Amino acid sequence: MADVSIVGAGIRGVASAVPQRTEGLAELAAAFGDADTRKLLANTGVQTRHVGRPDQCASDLGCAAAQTLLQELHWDPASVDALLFVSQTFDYLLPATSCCLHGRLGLSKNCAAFDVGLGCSGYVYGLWIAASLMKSGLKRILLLAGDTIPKAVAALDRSAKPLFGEAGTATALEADPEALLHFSLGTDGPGWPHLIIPAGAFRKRPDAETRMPMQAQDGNIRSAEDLSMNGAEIFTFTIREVPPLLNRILAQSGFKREEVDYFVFHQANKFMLDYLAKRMALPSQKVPLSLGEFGNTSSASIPLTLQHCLRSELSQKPTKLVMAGFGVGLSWGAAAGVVGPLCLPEIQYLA
Amino acid sequence: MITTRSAFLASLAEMLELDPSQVTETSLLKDLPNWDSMAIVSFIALADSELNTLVRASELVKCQTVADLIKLFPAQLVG
Repeated sequence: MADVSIVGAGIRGVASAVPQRTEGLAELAAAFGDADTRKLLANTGVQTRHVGRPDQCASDLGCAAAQTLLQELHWDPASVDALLFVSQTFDYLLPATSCCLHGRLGLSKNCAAFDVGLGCSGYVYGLWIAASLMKSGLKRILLLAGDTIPKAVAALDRSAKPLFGEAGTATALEADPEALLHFSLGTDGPGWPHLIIPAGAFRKRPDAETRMPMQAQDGNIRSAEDLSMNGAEIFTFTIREVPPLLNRILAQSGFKREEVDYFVFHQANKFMLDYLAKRMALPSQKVPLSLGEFGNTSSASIPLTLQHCLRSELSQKPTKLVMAGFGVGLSWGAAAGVVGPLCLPEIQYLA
Repeated sequence: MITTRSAFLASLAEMLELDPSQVTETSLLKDLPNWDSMAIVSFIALADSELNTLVRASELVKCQTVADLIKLFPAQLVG
């Protein structure tokens, strides 16, 4: 069972960057009509999403966030021992995007760099990996997490288009003998088809047929190279796995539910988050939401929410947090700890 | 909690924002206004919270009528 507590990895700061350009209700109404757009908004809770230029990658957003964070923390880039890049929207099939980022950030040749191919659960997995690496002797780690899922969503897919936005984040971790983080992680492998881009990698190489938009079983128009999401299966999965996950992380950490300051969830969609909060009897003021402005930013959504919603508190005092990410894979992870005060620069909006 | 068929029909009508007269056991789901992908998610939530049952999406997809939905809850809906 992947329920562990790790001493020694302190979170020092979080930075985020999003594209300046936004899409909102007007774009959705043009594609789907006013009536449907109102229903979509009621379900997703997403008013605006930040969607960048076609050539603007998650790595660009993460790099900007990391550069700001290194400056604010006064960290010499050469002092970073490892760089992790959590994403499912890499620059290339190969090389690893973390290697490209290593060069752009001017890190040392003695720095390890690798990618982690997870989405919704990715940030928690990234924290767990970083904390584990810290325990093995590393002193400073940069964890970048970000995605540009809108670039993989078909324009007329009403299940996905209104939901996803783009963001890149950077988290700095440093060896700290007083720091303690708790984790609970898991996987439902048979659920892999429920959130997928079926073609374009190596199971099915891209060709003229995979690029052809077709009407799918759910009525949406998409190609095999576009994201396909079975909302009903994902919702059932969430109800089935997230409440027990919360119980496990509270047991692992020893935190009482009422003592936790905030429960920071992956920003899947508002209906799901509201239902989870109600199901788990969590007061709404303890469940911050950033998806109204940013949408579902996949691996970036938890750190982005920390910055957007909790910047004032987290930059001033220690805060008892539970973070939980769940979704694509199907994969889930929760982390708990007393975090802060943190270096939290303002969110950057990139042209 | 929902424990009767009539309460189930009333809750389903409310969920779909329809007049109760529009939702009967013989109603075809594909003909019900507002029975769309979002309604399916709302229905899964309703089943979880009011019928204590986690409905699989694969079971829901096989349902053609409201009566088929009722058959998903043999122990919970009596009378």
